[in-house]
Amino acid sequence: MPQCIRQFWALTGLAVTELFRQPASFLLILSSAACTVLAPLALSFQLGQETHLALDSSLAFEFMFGIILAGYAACATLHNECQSGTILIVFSKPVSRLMFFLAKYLAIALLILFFVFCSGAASLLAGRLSPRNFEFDTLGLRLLLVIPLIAIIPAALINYFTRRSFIVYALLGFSLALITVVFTLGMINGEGHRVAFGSLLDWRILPACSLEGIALLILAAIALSLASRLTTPTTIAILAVVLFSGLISDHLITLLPNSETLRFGLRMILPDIQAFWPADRLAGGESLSLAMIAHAAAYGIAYTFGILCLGYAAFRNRQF
Amino acid sequence: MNDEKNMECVIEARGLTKVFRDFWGRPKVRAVNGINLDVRRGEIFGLLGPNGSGKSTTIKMILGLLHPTSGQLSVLGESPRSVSVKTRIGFMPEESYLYKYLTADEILNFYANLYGMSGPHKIERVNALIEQVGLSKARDRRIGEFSKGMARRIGLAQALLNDPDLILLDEPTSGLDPIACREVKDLLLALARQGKTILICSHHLSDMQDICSRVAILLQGEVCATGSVQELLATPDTLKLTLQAPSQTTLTAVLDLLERDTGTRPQVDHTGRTLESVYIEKVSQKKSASS
Repeated sequence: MPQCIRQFWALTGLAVTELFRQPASFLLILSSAACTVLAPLALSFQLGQETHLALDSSLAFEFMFGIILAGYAACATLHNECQSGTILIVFSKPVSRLMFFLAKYLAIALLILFFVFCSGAASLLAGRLSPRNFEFDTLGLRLLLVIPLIAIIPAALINYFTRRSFIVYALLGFSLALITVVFTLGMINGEGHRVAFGSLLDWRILPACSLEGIALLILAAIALSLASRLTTPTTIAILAVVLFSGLISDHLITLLPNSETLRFGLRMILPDIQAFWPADRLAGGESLSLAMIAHAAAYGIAYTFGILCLGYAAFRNRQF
Repeated sequence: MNDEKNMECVIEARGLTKVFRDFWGRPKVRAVNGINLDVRRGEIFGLLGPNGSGKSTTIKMILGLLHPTSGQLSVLGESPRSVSVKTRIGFMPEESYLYKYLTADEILNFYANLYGMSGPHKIERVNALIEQVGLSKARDRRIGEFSKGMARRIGLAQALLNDPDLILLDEPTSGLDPIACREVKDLLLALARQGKTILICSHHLSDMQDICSRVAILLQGEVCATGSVQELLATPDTLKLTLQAPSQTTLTAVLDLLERDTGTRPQVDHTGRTLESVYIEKVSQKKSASS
């Protein structure tokens, strides 16, 4: 294996280990899934709304917890490394700054993808368990209680007997438990009778979550670019501003003077988050087409590339 | 003297200056102010100076972690910002900046991967260094559980992983017990005999005196004295004479003679042992008795 590939995997592997061992990562992923699954129950009970509340709140929670996770992960892996001084030893080795920066981004992207995976599963559950005509699926709700038990008890035992990281195994157990419950509830209805697999699940939520995942990868690139100099609260605050500005970017552009250059400039600066917000289409009963996802993905890749270039330009001359 | 001048310079700094600036780009602190340094191959060079004198800033510039504001700096004949030159450098920072959740074994393997080491060579090198710094029994413990001295040892091990030509050590004996400190000094002397160049920053003047061939004293970012340790310590008009204690009559006669010759009566004292030598002897005796 060439030296640069070995270095890249070593750096990525360490950053992934670091991120997946952070208690905050576990808590954010767990909280996001819990809010996603439980919020529609409370909302429906209050307002008597239909299942589209589950979709809307799922997507909103994914964005909300996603930007916190992206900002936190970027700062935990880059800013903390600069602050703690571990970066001094790494850069005393023959490691290029570009490789270091990209390895950090890949590690954050893997954490975000794991988060999107869990959010997608939780969103499927939210859609499946949201009450119809004020009737709760009590069997499904009981099954939900199994998830934290499967996540925490084996992880605690592994930690006790082998001293391995509790958080890593809890995350692994949590994702496995989530998938198991999704599959189980995909095969039975509220009365416990067998139904055709997936007939009660709203599969449209999965491409919608993926679309938001792409937006989160863009925001993660912005977070990493900021994290070499800014702290976690500041980074998350800026991400929130970017997210909300991006969501209303069409409206902001109409406020500008009638200048093509200005409008083009704002389009370049602000990410078009609306392209990744599918809640309105889903509420209208539409599904997301492959072309739409491909178009958003292409835009996301181009934007992320641009942001990473700017971020690296700032990081390249950073002094420690 | 000519031989010394002809020796290859591993680190060469001319008018090296570092000014830290504030948010608006205004000069805030002149940490290093136009220093000239020549560190030659195979020597142990000491950078001395009080806190804030610019020692660590100089080391960081040598590593390319800080960029000089002005002046020229070459390390092993290359720019310090070159990535390739780092394959020949080992660095141990002042604090043990290590990933606390990794074990000693994992952290050395990680750094070995950064050097592109693999296979049996990597395993042998990691094992040898863990053995050399005396951490064989703690290799599977997390760094976060290490004492300061143990973390310093692993810091030294990572600095030697690549068998570097140039070793930069910031306070290498800080936090070490006297025996470990002696072992580190012996190791550094052995490395210098192998032709390695070593640059050390330290406040422990006795350690520096023991091992450094040349030193530079920094004060407020400027070199205020430089030269070999012997040159700096020598007082040309004073001598120290060590001899087996003679009889009182002989001693008085010699002292009278010397007083007539120099005009002052010489001071007579018993040769004392250092506390370090007593400590090492007693602890070694106790260890060998218990084993």
